[in-house]
Amino acid sequence: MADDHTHDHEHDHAHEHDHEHDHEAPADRALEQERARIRRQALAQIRQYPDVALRMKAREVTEFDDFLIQLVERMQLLMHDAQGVGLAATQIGVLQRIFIFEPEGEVGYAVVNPRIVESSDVKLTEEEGCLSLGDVRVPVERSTKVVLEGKDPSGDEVRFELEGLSARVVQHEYDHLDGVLIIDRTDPEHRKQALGELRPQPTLV
Amino acid sequence: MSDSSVRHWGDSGTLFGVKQPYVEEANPLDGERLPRRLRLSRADPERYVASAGGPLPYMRRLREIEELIDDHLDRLEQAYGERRAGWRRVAERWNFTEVNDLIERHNRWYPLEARLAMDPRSRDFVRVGGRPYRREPLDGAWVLERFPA
Repeated sequence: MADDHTHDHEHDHAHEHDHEHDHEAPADRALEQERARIRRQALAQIRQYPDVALRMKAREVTEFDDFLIQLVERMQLLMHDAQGVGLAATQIGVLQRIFIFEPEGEVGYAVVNPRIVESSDVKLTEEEGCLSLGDVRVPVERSTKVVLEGKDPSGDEVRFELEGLSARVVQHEYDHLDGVLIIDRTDPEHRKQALGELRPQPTLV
Repeated sequence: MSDSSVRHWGDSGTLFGVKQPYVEEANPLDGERLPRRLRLSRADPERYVASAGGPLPYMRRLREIEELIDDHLDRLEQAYGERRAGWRRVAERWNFTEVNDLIERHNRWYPLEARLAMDPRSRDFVRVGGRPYRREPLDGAWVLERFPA
């Protein structure tokens, strides 16, 4: 899942942002450009819509081995570089039930074979982005609180009681493992608009 | 932009406002209909990124595997010519650790790094050039197939 906060800042305060750039020190600008370059490189390794891998249901993980540890490490690096707050294995073409998420101000967690065992009846609709859907952002209704269970990459049981952004992120990533995207969860009008943005545009040369 | 305007871009005569001499060979598409593949191609930023940094890791790894295999074949050929007695034993004890480690890493990471397309029916990755992307590790049988005992 794309980092909402960064996105909001870029879109909603575009003028202020440009204005800030005018007075930005060259070193800050170079750092920003470097971050943007790293983000593009990371996104180039994340499967983008309409890649069929994004529509496939992931399988349960049965082997907790070195490969799984290495896979999770790679996913964490990619998510960090792409400036996301969550990433599912299907987004990099691995059809296994694994996702990682990073609650605000905390280190990232990896959850293997996750299960959402409780979700609140209270729901909230907020805009979401996705690392596999470019700049598309659509409103999605999600439970405000969830309880997530699963295993860590070593095979030990884990349980998270989450609310707010973290609850939203894990529901988003959990959907990925079933081949469900935010464009399937939004209203028809926003879905139509998003599909229009995602349609390949011919380039005249 | 119509096809006709694309067809004649070569003789428009100016580049950044400066009159340019028309060189026929400079535009191989001049006078030809632009292929659909080119007309519909997207200038994705990721393609620029991918091409700007030189060969990607999976490309370099594949090259290294090929070079190591060639090196093994050269050395095996030499050893085969020098020593036929006990060849099976030599073949089975041949050290392929380095190349097999690279092959194992290729089998694990290639489809991810190359974003290899997936076949939704088989739920596996598509074949590359008609062959599975996975490579078999080298062992004594591989040697004996090429240099029989």
